Amino acid sequence: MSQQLPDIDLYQKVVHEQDAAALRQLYQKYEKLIYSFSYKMTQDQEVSEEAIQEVFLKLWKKHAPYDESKGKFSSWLLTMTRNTCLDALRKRNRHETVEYIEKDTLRVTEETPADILEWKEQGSAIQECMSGLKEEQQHIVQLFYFNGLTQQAISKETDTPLGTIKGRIRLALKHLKACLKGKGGHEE
Amino acid sequence: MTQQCDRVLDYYNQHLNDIEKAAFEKHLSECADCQEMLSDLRSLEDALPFAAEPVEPPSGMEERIFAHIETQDSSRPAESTPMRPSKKKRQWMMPSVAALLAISLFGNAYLFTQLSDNADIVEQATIDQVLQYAELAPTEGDASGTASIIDQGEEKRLVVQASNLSALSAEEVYQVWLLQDGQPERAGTFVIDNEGRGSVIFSMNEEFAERDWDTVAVTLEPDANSELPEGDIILASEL
Ligand SMILES: [Zn+2]
Repeated sequence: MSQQLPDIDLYQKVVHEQDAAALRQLYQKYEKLIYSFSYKMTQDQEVSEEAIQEVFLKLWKKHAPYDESKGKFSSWLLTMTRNTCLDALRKRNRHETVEYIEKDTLRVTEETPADILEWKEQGSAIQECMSGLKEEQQHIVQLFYFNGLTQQAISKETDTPLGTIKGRIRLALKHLKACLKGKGGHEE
Repeated sequence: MTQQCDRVLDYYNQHLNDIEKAAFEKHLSECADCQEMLSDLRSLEDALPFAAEPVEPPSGMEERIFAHIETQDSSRPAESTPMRPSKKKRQWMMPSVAALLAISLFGNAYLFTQLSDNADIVEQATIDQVLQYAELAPTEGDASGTASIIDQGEEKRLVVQASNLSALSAEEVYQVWLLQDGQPERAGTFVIDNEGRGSVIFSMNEEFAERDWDTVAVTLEPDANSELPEGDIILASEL
């Protein structure tokens, strides 16, 4: 683990040399992060696993070309994960309504893999900034960003007029942005 | 601010269909407000996923995923390969409909018995109000057509018109289907004239009229008795 190649080199090995071991290293490095993220989005173990499988299959089959102009590999992987989860959520929502309540907190673990240092660093910054938001703002960010709901559904869920949803989300995002900047984070 | 501005959130969460998406993107190129909203979102994309509480992945996930990837391995040319052994041209044009029709083969034969009275009503109608209108896209060749759902007060009718269709042999017919969540229902049968044109007006019974159809498709069937689609999809569109 300590001798690991940079992500971009591993990625190159995957697509140019069809190196399955490199794919597995990337997987092991990000498994917990993208699983946690998928789970926060879908609140469903099975759907999360399927989404991650699809992401790595796309990577392996070169259906999702990455290069450094697209930013950090980890950011790109997370964006891909989010889009795949959004797809899954859309399919599911066509068939049933889902309770968007944070649940199943029993599965949450304290430990964060040491090699994902950035999770620790960025995690604490964004988590602090999130909890600095008003409760209704936190809720709306959860519904919009993590649950990927439509504007209409957010309006219904929060009992807020459709026309004010966008303004509220925008305000919450501004707060988050300013807060992260204040923490010396992470503003590109 | 225009009405398009109200779509920025649904655009970001990928809820727009292709047409809405294209219209929004055109708007986006000219709207500073929407651009700012999206750039705010993008600037948080690197940070927000880290707000997820660490959760232990299910045991054996890595093995399952890599076992799955390895079974796909034999078909790993650089270009994309269909994962299902269905006809390439179908997958290219209307993958969802093709898959949905295939899945539905075991579907719901029983409904057709109660609907058969209503099928195949071929007569001219006066058009009162068009509720839905769709251009039908060919899965191959240059067939074309339209489908409209028309409200005539007392009842709704589906009108399908098509041209440039290939000649039929023996018992073959063109069959119209309405689909909701992948479940096809018969919605009219027609044959064509010497010029390859055909049309059908299908009167919906109450149950049909109330449903929220998402797709219309035309298939070529071996005879007029197919209760579920057996033949190739010729034309299709989302509604
Ligand atoms: Zn705008």
